[in-house]
Amino acid sequence: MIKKKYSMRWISLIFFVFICASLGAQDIFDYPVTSEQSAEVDSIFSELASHDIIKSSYRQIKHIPSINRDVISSGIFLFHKERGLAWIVKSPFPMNITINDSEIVQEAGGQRQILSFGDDPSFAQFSTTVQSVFRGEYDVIKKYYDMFYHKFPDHWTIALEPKDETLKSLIASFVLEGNTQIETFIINEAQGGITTYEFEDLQYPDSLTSEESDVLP
Amino acid sequence: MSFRNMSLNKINLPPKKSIILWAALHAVLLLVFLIHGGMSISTNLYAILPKTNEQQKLSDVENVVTSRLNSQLTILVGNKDLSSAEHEADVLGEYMSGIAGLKDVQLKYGTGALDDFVSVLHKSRYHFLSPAVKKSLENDNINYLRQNCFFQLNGPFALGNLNYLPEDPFLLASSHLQDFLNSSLLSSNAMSLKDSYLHREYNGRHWIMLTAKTDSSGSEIDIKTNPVASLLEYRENLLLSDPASEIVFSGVPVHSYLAARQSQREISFLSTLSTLFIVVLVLLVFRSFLPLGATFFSILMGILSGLAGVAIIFDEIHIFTIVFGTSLIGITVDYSFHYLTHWAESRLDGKKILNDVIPGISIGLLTTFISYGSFFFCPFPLMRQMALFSLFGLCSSFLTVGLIYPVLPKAKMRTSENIGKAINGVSRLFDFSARLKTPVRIVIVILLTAFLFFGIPRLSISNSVTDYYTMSEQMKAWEMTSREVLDLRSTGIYLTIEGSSLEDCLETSERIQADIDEMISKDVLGSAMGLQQFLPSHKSQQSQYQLVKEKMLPAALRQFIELGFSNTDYKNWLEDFNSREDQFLEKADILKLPIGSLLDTFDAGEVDGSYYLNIMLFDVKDIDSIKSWTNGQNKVFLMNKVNELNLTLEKLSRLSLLIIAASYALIFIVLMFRYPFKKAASIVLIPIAASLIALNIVILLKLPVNLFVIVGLILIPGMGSDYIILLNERKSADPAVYLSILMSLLTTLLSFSLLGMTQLAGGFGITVASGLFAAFFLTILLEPVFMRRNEE
Repeated sequence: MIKKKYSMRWISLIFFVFICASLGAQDIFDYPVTSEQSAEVDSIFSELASHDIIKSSYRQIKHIPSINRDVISSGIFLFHKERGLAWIVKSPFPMNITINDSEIVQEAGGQRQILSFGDDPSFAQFSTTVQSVFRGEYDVIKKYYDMFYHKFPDHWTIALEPKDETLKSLIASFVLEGNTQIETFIINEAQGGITTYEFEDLQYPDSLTSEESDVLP
Repeated sequence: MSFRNMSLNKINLPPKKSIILWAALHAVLLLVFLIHGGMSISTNLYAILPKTNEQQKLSDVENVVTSRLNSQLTILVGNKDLSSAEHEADVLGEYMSGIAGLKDVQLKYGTGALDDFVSVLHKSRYHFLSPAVKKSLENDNINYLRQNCFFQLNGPFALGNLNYLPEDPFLLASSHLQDFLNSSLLSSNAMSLKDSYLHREYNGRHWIMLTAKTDSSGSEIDIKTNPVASLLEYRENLLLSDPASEIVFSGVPVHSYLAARQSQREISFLSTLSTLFIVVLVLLVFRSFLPLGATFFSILMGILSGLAGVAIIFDEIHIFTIVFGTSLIGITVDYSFHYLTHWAESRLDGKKILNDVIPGISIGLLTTFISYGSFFFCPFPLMRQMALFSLFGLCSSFLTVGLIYPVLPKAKMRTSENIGKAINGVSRLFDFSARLKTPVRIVIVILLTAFLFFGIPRLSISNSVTDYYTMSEQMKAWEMTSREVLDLRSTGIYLTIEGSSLEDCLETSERIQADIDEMISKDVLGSAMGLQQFLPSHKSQQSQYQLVKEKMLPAALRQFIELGFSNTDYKNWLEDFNSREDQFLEKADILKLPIGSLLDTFDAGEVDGSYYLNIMLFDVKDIDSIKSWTNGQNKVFLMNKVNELNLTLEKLSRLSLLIIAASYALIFIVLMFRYPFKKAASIVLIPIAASLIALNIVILLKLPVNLFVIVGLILIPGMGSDYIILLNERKSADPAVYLSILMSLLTTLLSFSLLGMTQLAGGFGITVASGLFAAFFLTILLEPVFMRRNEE
């Protein structure tokens, strides 16, 4: 009888684990944005865009699948509605990376590299996407991406899958997670690489400091 | 016995023998034609153009490039809605794949296009460095490489593939890819990849690009089965079902097809009208079907002989030759009319009629031969084909009249009566002219001379290649849209590098690259593109590898440590590095890249034992500077097709003017053998004056005086002197010749006037028609005076 009692418990436990695992296995891409959710997603983006300037500490984890290694860096993330985005990398090496509507500028140790978007629309679209998220341009995002959304009890998750096959060959998807503000931004590369940004200590200053203005002119 | 005293009317061949001789001569022609392999019609626009390069080897290289470009077809599908444009491009692409005569249909570029670049650049990472990396290594700036790698690792978005990190610790391939993306090397136009299509949003429309090639027979085949015909039909149907869509075509196959279609319409129009006119004229004059049958037999044999002659000598006949050749209908008919009017009027035996007419038509044939024959001195394929077509046609027609017509039964009395009425009517015109008082003739001559002053002083020879091909409005609009959407910068100007091998050419290309860069910096040209930018020579690859070995290798261990790799990882990498010394990037590797059509243009390959590469020059602003730079180079040649064509046409025009003078002189010399000096001079004077009048008319009509007009002027002495020769060779008081001259004039005038209405031969037709009319007018105005003087 005891044995039987035990076996019932085990069966129940296994069943419970299986149910949980099944629920966990359901990823965000199983939840395309429905028409009812559309307004909800729009309001999340509007909320994200309610600030002209966003400043946050970030941690970037870049996963390289072939060697199963994570490359970690950290620094300050800046967003300015008109001037674009900047990553002021503090660790492991100081460097600045800025993105605006037309180019990516990389700067370190007095060396400056500019990558223009003119010849590569994939970069342009990458830049547009990241900026549109923080600008709350829901219509722009909807135009270029298939959107997925799920509201968990304590946070929301939004995933963007490029409609453009060419961009899709570089970036499989973007995933955003947050509550009242954005907390995680994940870039899933088509070749298996994953870049995760974890944002902490989000601030909304009225203006940039002079040092920050030098980075985001 | 001199030619002057020689009697040209002693032909005495039995009818049977004459028919056998005619049949034998035509059978020989037919046999040679059949042995030669029949006839194909070429519609290729480039095939008619003269050779532009005096150096045979360069001309052959040019032909290789041209023949590759000749088959390239570019299609743009446009729609305001992106997905509709993509869908329509998909459907069209599928449709094109099923069209016979089209190959290499390219619409979608696999999403791995960028991967292909990364893979090739990864393979050649130590042999083919980006200019920035090379410069940094030369300057011992290893930090640049290090930082570049950390940008990729710590930035939001990595170019290239980070999975290669253990094999490429400085991510050299990624740096190079960045350079490629920045320098527009991936594409020679403004289209970029979107949804795997080459796409550009322009003027509110999404444009998708498709490319294809016509196969080797694409430009030669029957225009009914030409692949372009199917594409045009597809476009029409699409626009009917979806007016918001647009399909734009560009490329030589489309131009060739449309020009050929236009030519075919013109040939049908010209031959139908000429034929109808001859039917009406013959029936009206002779009121009998026998002369009609005889006339058309002569025309038909003339045309068939002309086609066979061209096919034997030139392998294929160009459709433009046939357009020009339709004028043969009006020329060959002359000999028939001359014989048949005598046949109907005199009701004599065939031999006797022939003896009457043969002197006139023989000398006429000789002068026309001189005119057409002189075309062979002009190295313009179209002109030579046209001359050969006419010469064979005229010979055949002459033989038909001389050998077959005498077999015709005597004319019926009713025919003779009818022709008599016609001759009487025409004679009145000549009588009226004969009765004109000398002062009236002088006034007319003064007026004609004064008329020349309105145009001739404004003479300027046009040598633009654009004079020879007029694009339809539709084609013009398509070309304009294509240039705008694709933002084409090519001007068709390029440098050709000659070498003993591909390696030799690549080394020369690399040697001159610095000079080209300097010219770009001085704004002599906008940019340049060549194979050396995708494939360095082995020599250069070796030196780049050595540079990496010398400068990067000592810093590699530190890089491995900083990246967190183990010592074993470093050792593995070092082993791999050392084993790669002789693993060069080869041509076969870059053939995998999506730049196939560019490679076709860059790499002309081996021609006559030498190897040739081309470097395309874009936005050329100062061609003279490039030309003088090229003159100082060894085995580097400047190729400028349009300019060279214009220069060639200018040379040909000058040569043709000499030919005109020479043909007048030759005709005069030939006539001197037959006539006294004064008479020969009088005969030549008429076509000279007629040529000047024709030239004057062309100038007053504001038509370009180009090579075709000059060619028309060459024909005038040969054909324009026929009228006065026929009058001179007639038996005294033989009025039938008036009728035959007038009938000849009307048919020839109609043929050339109709040709004057065509797109291709407008200037030529108008020149010959006005020249022949002027020759006829001057003949009836001055012939009585000349005759009187000669009698005196």
